[in-house]
Amino acid sequence: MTAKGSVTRSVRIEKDADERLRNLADQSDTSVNTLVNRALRKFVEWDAFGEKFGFVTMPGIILIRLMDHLTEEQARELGTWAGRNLLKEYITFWFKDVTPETLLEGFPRLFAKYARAFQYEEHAEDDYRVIILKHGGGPKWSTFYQEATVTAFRELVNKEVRVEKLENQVVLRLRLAPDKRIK
Amino acid sequence: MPASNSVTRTIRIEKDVDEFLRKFADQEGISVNFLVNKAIRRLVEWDVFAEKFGMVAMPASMLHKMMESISDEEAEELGTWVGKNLLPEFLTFWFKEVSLQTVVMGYSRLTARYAKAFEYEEKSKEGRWTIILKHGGGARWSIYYNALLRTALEGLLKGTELHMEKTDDQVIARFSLNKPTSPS
Repeated sequence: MTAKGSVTRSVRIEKDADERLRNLADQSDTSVNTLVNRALRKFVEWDAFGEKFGFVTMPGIILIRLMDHLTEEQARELGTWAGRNLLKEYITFWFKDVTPETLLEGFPRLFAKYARAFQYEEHAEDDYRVIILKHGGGPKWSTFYQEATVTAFRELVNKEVRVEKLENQVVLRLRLAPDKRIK
Repeated sequence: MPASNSVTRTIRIEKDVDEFLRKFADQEGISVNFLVNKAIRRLVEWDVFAEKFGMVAMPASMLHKMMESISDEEAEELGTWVGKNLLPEFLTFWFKEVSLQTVVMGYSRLTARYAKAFEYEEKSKEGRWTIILKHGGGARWSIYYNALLRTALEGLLKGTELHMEKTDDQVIARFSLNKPTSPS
């Protein structure tokens, strides 16, 4: 439970769903309450918006195979398009405003947590915020994420990002604002 | 929901989540209880498997663009590969068996409800089945879904006649079962 506190609610849950929930809690060695909160948190942060925005879920291997058919140039163009248009639409839809903070919150963090497009790690290095996107989709997906990120930060929030591209991951380095530096 | 089909649980919900749920329920004209049930059902029917299976969410507009960049032949090949390899893996993972029932009631219904890849309609009358996938993704996604469904159903119908139709945003499969029953 967060420091923000909690409220107690009585809810009627469909019997079969409740049974599956109890089994799942047993299997995962956690409580039903924790699972319900996890489901509700996901609804609040993702599903409530994702359904309306038009997210489609599919096995990641299909996306890898689709990208394999594209040329390096097409992957780059797709990334530029996504950074300029798609990320702007996505961030605006979720947060109503595009700022460096909402862009970082929406694109790497929520996208990693709920869209599961990549694993996400973050740490501070001197004056830089270092973000690692581990996607496992091959070099063309790296090109895509590189272009999408550089374009979005440059065109949407006027910030330069240094990107190091590897075969299955990209590393982003953003200069921290003075008040955002990790002490 | 009828009392006999439900159980009452007292749960502690984080305050900000509860506040969002109340506002959202109000905006949409539904109850918080409905939203809680929807979220729980999604977790137990979909999310818990999707995470382990390696499901990824992408905006539909991006998927349309990617599909537009490949050829008709490549879309057909991809659909055939998914129908032959990936769909049986999906069905085994979720339902522990590959059957006509799990293709129709499992894959199609779940993918429509949770993955939002298409809208799904079905009709059966006297053993004649019609399955409709309305994806809205354009002609090349129709080629993909046509190949996927044809490959999956041909393997399971074993010689029974299968008619496939496709238009730009929709794919239809029609087949007859020997007995006028559900595909179970």
